[in-house]
Amino acid sequence: MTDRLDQTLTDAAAQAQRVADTVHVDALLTRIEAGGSRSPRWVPALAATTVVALVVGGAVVRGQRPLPPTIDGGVLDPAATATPDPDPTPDATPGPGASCAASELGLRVEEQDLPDAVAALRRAIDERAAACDLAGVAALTSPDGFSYSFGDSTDVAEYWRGQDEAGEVSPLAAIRQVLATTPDLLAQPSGEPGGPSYWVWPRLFLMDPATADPAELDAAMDEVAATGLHTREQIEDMVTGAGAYLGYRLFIEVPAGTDAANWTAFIAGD
Amino acid sequence: MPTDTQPETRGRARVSDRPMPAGPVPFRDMYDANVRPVMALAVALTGDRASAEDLVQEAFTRAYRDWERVGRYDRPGAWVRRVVINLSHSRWRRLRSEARALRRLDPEVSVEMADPAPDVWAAVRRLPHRQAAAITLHYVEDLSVAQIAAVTGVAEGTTKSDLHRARTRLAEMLDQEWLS
Repeated sequence: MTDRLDQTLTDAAAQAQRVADTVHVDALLTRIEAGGSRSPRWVPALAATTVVALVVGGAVVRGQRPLPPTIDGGVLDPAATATPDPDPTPDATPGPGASCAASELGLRVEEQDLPDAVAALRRAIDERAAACDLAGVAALTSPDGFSYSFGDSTDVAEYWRGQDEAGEVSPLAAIRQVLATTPDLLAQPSGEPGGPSYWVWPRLFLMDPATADPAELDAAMDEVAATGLHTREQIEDMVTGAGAYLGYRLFIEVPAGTDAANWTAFIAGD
Repeated sequence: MPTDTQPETRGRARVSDRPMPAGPVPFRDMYDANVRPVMALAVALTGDRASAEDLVQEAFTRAYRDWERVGRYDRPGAWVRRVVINLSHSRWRRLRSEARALRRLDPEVSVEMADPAPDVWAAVRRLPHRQAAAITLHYVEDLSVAQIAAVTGVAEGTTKSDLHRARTRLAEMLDQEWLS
């Protein structure tokens, strides 16, 4: 009986290994380096519609991982950085005075202690979002690779517009809400000397519930809840149920040894 | 014996008995050395490739984003395995919880849990969590008692006992299936 059990388990282990060998580990690594971008099926079911929208499906990673910076130096010229968007839809650029969920948030995105280029990019994203300028916001994404939550489109503006029109969530409002939180620096997570670092909003995403100071963790959860992005209960579900904050977060990359800033991700669900 | 960040050239990669040198190592090296065996572990623990891929992605993502700290551990690969084991356990508890919730909403509905496939791993997943982890690490990754203890953070004597109990219980469960 023991021999038979041993043989059965050994055969089953070999079968599990064969299944594992069919996984494309390079593609998996790309998603990992993007901060995780495909929504796992084990993410707890969350009640609110907006959050359900976050956790279904996978993400699209457009282009390659970081190449030359899109923004150099300490001062951002939004007009100059708008070039990656080849054909902004005219009616998607309402401009000042326009009204949308993002403009009606009643949210003030305060200045934060950030490197100049990062601060300028953050400010530009927020200003365009507040002006309901969806194409303008999309134009600020890094042309060298940008991760965004699930969808089958390769055009982030089109994808966000679809989300907005479907009433699932207002991406521009969510972007502003995320940017209103406190960020934290993820320093060279690749462990390689020339690897990029990332400013990540909210800082809650980088906190490990198992090791974080409970008061700080609590404050970080409160901060996200205060933006209205998710309820406190939803956030706690993510942090305690899945072991990490899995809601919307935004990444701005700083290539090593530069003063540049690239907006590389606005993702949720993993 | 390969280190935790050096892929084994013959057969499957293993968790090393030998501590890593102090200081962070490249994440990519650790990933390359561990992703295949960790994926096999996750396949056994979850019962399907898609769920396994999600768990492995999540575990390595956590290691990646906290690499400054995790990369300094003696065995970062063991840390990743522990995350996968814990996530698989959480996932299984959640599936059971969701099934119960659905039954409460509609007692008439028949809820099929996604997991129990008719195979030996389905039987393993019905074992107590720690026993399931021990037996899976032993057979899928060919780990010794000491190595399993290093991954799970459980004493070697307890691990030995877990393995023994797991085998005994599995033999009983499978014996019934084989006889039926």
